[in-house]
Amino acid sequence: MKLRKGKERSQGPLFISGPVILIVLGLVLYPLLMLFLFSLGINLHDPNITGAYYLQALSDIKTMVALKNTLYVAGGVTAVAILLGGGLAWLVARTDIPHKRLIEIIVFLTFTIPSYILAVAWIQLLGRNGFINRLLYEKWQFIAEPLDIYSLEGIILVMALHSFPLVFMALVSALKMNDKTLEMAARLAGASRMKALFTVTLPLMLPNILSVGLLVFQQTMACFGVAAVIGLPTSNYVLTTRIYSAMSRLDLPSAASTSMILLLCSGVVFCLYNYSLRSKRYININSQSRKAEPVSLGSWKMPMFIGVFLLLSVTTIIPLGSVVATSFLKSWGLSLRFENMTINNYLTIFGGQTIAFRAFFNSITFAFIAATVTAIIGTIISYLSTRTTIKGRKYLEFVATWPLTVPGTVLAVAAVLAWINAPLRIYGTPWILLITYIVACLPFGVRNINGLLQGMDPLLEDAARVSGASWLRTFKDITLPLITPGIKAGWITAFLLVLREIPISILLYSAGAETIGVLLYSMRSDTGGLETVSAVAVILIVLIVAGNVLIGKFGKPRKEATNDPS
Amino acid sequence: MIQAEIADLSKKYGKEVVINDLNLRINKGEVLAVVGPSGCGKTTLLQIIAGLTGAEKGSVVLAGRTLLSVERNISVLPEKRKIAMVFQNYALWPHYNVWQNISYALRVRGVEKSKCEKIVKETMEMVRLEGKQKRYPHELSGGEQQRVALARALVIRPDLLLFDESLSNLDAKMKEKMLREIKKIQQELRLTIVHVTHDQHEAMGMADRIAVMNKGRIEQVGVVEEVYKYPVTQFVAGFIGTANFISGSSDDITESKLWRRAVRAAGNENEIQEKEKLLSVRPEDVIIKREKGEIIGTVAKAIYRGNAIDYEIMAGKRLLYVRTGTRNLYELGAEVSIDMVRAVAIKCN
Ligand SMILES: Nc1ncnc2c1ncn2[C@@H]1O[C@H](COP(=O)(O)OP(=O)(O)OP(=O)(O)O)[C@@H](O)[C@H]1O
Ligand SMILES: [Mg+2]
Repeated sequence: MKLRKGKERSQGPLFISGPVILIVLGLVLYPLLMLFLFSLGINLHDPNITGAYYLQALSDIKTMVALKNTLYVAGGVTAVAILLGGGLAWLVARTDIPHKRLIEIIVFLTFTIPSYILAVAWIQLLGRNGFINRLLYEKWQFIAEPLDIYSLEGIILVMALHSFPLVFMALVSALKMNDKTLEMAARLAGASRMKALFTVTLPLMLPNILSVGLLVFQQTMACFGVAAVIGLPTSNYVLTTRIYSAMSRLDLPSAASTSMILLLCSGVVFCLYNYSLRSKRYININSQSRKAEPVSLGSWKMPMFIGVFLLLSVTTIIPLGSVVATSFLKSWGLSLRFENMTINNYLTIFGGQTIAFRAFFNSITFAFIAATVTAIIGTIISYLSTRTTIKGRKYLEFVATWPLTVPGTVLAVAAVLAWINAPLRIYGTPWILLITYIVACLPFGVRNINGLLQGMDPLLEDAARVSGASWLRTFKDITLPLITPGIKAGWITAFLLVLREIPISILLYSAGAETIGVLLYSMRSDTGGLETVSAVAVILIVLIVAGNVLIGKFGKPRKEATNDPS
Repeated sequence: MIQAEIADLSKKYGKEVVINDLNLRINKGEVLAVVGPSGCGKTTLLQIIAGLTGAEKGSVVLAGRTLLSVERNISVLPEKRKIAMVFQNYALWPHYNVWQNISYALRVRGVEKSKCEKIVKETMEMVRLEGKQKRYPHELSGGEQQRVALARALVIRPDLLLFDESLSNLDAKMKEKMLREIKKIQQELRLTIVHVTHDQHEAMGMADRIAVMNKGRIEQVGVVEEVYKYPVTQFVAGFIGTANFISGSSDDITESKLWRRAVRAAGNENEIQEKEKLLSVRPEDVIIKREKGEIIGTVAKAIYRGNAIDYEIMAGKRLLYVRTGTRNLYELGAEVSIDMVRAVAIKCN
């Protein structure tokens, strides 16, 4: 962008930057600052409370165990997701396996299932009473012990199945872009196919694998819903659930210090991730190089496809089918016969005065407002950061995208600390929920629009100015139409994020402002609610798929991974 | 008559001075080519004229109206300047079709619909884009995009039309053709054009006058022939065409011989006697012969150009660029005598 001196030329939106800066600082920075200060034992409102909460937290063996569990789970998930996603990606991108498109679509479908719902589905399958145990253990006596989903490994299983599509999509696009002539050169030099794979392709892909691995690692650390629904019944704590239980004991000091530990871990990994994104650019030198011959699987073609299909059945089709089936059952546990079917579960949701209806209504209202506010603020921030010369505009953008690194649980704790004391007391009202949703969504608004604005030649706007259009007219005629796809994508992403959000919802909701997340979470333990949860889940999945189709991302590798907020 | 006057203009980006006390007058109805190496501030100059960026000092007056005067704190908004600009990459709006792109300036000005349509139609005929109104920019060839950009600039019949390297994306043949067409339109509409380029051939193809820019300053302005024949600085001589620079301060024997010969060729010897002066000799003003002469060189390189031959002659420790007709051929390593018919004294920089 050409530098412009403010006094010499109208920069348009400068007058609006004040309020926006205030909003961003107030909504994002202030709560996190409060969290930080509080965790240090500094309380602005009550100077009596002091003390090193960190020492408490760090000396508390339970926190340490939770930290260890978090790293174990995140590591395990990352490893499994890379093996699964990477293997599949290679098959799809580099071999002649049939029905590639089908595989891609199923994998993407997996990605659209909120992790919490995947967990519920797997409980349906793998719980003591679940389909699989009933078959393998009770009926066929295939295994000596019933499989136990309620373990750290259970969390790993579900989160890995939830995360591998991310790895798959990232690596498929990287493999397709990768310079295939390098591989051919290796073959010409006498390397066998496998040797070429391991000596050329794999090392070249390593930066991509590393960066998507870091992303999976960070998202797993931030995950709450799965860890709660699977880990809490048997007291297998990770950091997020530990924070949650501290909050439900109203033990704010412990919640705050644990939050800071989680924030630190997540922040470090996220920085590494960003760094890896930046440093790997030079790898894909020649993207126009000719398409390499796909590796021929020969007679393995069909068996390989059947294997992949079976695998995807286990990861996606069966859980999805189970959720859909359950959503039509009169009661969980009944067998799938026609006389046991009903659509009442759906009717209750849309049927007026039930909690489920209220939750839907609330969530959709929150999601709508949060997405709209995010889109507006995101547009303004992106514009300020790419099209003006205001001092500190890059910091503004940085602060606005910061919540990407902050797990929802931590955002909620920070919000409690920030908004609990007069005169800023909105804790206990729907406003705190709305505000925190906006904070959580802000990065997506900014990133989606920023990308487009950065890619858009400022000369297009200059051309309009020279043609006689005022700043405002230029914005309306040229800038806005060209960034609309980004605004739309940001809006839909935010909307869907709020709909399936769990930790912020359950930590901040107040009576009357229950949301879908609250509904899902409160029904987790009593199996009596599983049918309704499943119905809610089905509607959610339909909305998510529809949203992604609207953004045009369905089945395509995405540049920006969405945080799964559950 | 003067259409535009730029006076004492200075512009900095941070600490870097990009436009340095620049003065330039543009006559009404002329094409003024501004040439200069990459990074010398050409685009910045155009942006200041168009109002897309500000300046630290100086003024811009167009058709009697002060558009910018830092001293008097005047700065007319770009949309109020009646200046049009054709950008290097055309900057066509991708979400508008050809008609919408071209008519935009009229629509923004609220020109009445029928009149607007008439002007757009006329202009599209002028740039020979008939029948393409419904196309979107990505459905056009590079040349057609260029024409749309041109038409978009022409519809308001601007007081001043700015070209920023607008032809550099076209191949040589196409560029040639566009230059001729633009020149024709310019004469028809009596437009005043500032044409910025780093390609001297492109500049010479259309310009009435040429301004050579270096490091944020205009080093010389004049009609093309004058600038070529009488460059005032070493930079101008080297940038427009090729030049052999001969200095009088060398101890080398051949070099001194060359210097004395060049001084004679330049004519007014008294003036040039100061040793710090430099002489510029065009390759075509150097004559080489097989006969023995006072100054001897050997042929180091020969490039056949079809209608001429470019030689590089090793004379003492230096290379001389020489252009001859195709009558006499000299093989590599041949010994030749060197003579000069014309030289000009220039300021070194
Ligand atoms: N927005 C900017 N911020 C800082 N420096 C700039 C900016 N725009 C241009 N410059 C600097 O100003 C100088 C002149 O730039 P300008 O674009 O005017 O050059 P130019 O003569 O048009 O070059 P070219 O022939 O390559 O287009 C360059 O050194 C450039 O680095
Ligand atoms: Mg330029």
